[in-house]
Amino acid sequence: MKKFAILGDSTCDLTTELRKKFDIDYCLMGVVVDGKEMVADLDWKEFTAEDLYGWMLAGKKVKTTQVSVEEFENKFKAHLDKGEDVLYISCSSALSGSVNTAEMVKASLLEKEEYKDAKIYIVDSLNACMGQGSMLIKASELRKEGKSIEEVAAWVEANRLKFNQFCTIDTLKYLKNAGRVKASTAFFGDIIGVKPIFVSDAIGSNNVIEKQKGKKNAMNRIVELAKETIEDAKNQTVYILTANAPEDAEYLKQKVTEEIAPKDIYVSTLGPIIGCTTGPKTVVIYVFGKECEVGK
Amino acid sequence: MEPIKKINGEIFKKLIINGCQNLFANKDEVDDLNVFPVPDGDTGSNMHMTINGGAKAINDSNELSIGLIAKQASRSMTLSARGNSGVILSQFFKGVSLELEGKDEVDVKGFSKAFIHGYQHAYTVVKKPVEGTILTVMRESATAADNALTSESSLQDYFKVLITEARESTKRTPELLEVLKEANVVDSGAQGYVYIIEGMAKALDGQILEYVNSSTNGTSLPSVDHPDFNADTRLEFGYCTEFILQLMNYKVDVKNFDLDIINKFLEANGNSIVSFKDDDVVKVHVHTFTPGVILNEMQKYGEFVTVKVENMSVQNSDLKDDRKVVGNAKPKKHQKYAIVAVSSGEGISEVFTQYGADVIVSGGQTMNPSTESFIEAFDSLDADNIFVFPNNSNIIMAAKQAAENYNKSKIYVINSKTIAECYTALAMLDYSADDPTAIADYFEEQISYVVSGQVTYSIRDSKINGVEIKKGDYIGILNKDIVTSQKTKVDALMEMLKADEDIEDRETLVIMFGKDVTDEEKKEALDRISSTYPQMEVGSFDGKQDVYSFIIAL
Repeated sequence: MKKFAILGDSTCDLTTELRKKFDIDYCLMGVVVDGKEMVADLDWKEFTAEDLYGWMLAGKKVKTTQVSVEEFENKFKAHLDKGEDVLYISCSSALSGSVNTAEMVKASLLEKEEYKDAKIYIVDSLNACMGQGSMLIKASELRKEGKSIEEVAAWVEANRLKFNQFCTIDTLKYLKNAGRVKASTAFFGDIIGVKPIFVSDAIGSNNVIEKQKGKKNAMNRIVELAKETIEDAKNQTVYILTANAPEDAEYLKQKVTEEIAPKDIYVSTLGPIIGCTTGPKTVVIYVFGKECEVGK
Repeated sequence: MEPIKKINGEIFKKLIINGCQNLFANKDEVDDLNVFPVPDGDTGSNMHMTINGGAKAINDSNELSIGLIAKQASRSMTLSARGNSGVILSQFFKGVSLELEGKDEVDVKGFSKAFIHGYQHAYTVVKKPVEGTILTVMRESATAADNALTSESSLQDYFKVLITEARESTKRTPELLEVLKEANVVDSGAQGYVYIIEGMAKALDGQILEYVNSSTNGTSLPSVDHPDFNADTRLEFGYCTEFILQLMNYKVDVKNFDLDIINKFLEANGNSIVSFKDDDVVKVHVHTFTPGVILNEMQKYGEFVTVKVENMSVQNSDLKDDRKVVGNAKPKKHQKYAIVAVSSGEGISEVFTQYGADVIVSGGQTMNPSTESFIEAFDSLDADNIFVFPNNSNIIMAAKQAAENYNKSKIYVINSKTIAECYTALAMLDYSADDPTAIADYFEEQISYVVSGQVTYSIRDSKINGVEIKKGDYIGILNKDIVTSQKTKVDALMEMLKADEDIEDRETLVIMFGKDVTDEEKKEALDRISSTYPQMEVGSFDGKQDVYSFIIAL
């Protein structure tokens, strides 16, 4: 069977270690700070997480850019030229236009004589961060089991809503500014001491589902939601990510151990694009289980 | 005056008006009969506003039948009812009127029966009747006066017993209610009722007190009738604007002038539009935030015969004027769910609106909104379900009475008893359950987690809960209890927080600053809270409320 590469993008938040372990490549997005463009690589080579959140707290204009045509062409070609097919699992189409650009690049590449026998599969993850990241890991595991690119793509497409996100945040300000959250007006104001809880919904939007008084209540609640959602916990990995809050991560880890007791708990930090979009103090849990019903 | 044996509408009218005027003359004394020595007593004012609604309604009435006069009075009192004693009083008269219904006149026995029925009805509207209050006095006095009746008794005889027993019963209220005993006061509502029946008796002695519309004479209650409209007020309702425009031939073709030209402009700049063209004159009524814009435009077509512009936020205090002047210039939008919140303090109202309250009814501890103001608020909305957030236990009954008298929307009165509870319920606003009962339950649940705190000053020396209080001291009230009395407001705040058993575990604190708090005091309060309770996330805003220096929600 022909080999195939699995690619994510800068929103998938897979560390070097995980990308290496699961042989996953990714396409770069960008961050623009006060007009200066920088590469949003997941290893924070050009700037650190502290830099980023510092800029945001200082009120600098921080924006993100989607994967460029050139970047897609380079990354796809690099694999195609090695004789591999390409499976790209994209950031949610509700959050980024990258998936459309990828489709465009795919069409133009496959028109070329040299790639006429190549295959490029593109799946919209309807998620981001470790929702997308854990989907990529799952795809890699299936590849290892010997599944074909068609089978893996079909599985991801059919199961993507089972990758659940439960996130809480200090302020919706950044997500609102970025236009990347759906919430009824009642939820919109920043309310002293009140934390919104949001999921990545059935169409891939960040959707505020409820609010909790105080950070601790909010963190307890996302663990509770994760517990209600996860299936076959003893064989699952639960992913905990925070922007820059190691104490919160530690608290959540302990809580998840007590409440869910999964096979593994993986703790990490948000990558540059997600961090830039959600802002400091974000905490999020990802679990695989029941399909997300919100927004259906 | 001759002994009265038959009571018709005319006499009943005099009784009510006299009762109302006598209470008015003594209402400040009733206001001061406050359990807590804090400057927020309002029972006298509330009861007066309530009975005054009835007195006003029947003053101009020419009805002679007692049944009809009693009905008019009770219906108006129901609408103008404020505060718990006011609501109870209005329901007393409702009971009286039900007994008198269909009768032209009654004898003394019949009159006595009506008072019996009055107190019985009043008891039915209170969920958990508390003895040692106005209810007890209504019951004991009416029962004693009824028992003392003989076939010879005149109405004067009846009132003699009624008043004697009511005074005695009022004196006994501290024996029945511990809080009264501790504060060394009699129940304020009970005392108010005594003044009412004493006023009635005076009418029988020929001391007819002329009905003076108390809100238009000099000693009226401006704070009760006027929502504050001052330098910090936000224009909420716009202006009711009316004018007659003489179309001018040198400006337009008067004969063929199309009214639609004007209407289109009005629609873009206002609503509640009524306009018509009569020959060469146009008459317009419109609610708008920018009357100047409209008037300037209109002058393109003619000149004004008359212009009248009224700020709809300034409630017309003249009770003789029956026009409703509070309206909403914003177009009504149909809503499945809407919220009416009670608020005092510009800053608090602003935050409530920002958090999702659709209509603010102004009022609070010292200015209880009437049943009618709730009904007006409901009317200003077009909603299937309306949730009402009172901010004081003394407002809940009036809100519930309004709910019972309203059928255009389903009304849910939430039991928010403090501004902090009201604040928290709004902060946690969530309609996603999409079922009105479930949403109401959710609000109640959120409220149950709230700890409320208030700091205000003392108006007299007192000792409550073992706390020595000096006049002028600042008192900290945690939930319902006075927990500290201090020389400075910030000290009172800090001691009050300390009194909360779980303060060390609290994660969030919201503090609303009153009008009297200086910038230095705000800074001191915030600094001391964050250094004493570093774990707490503290938020603050200028509530600009009267009376309370600090309101906190934990």
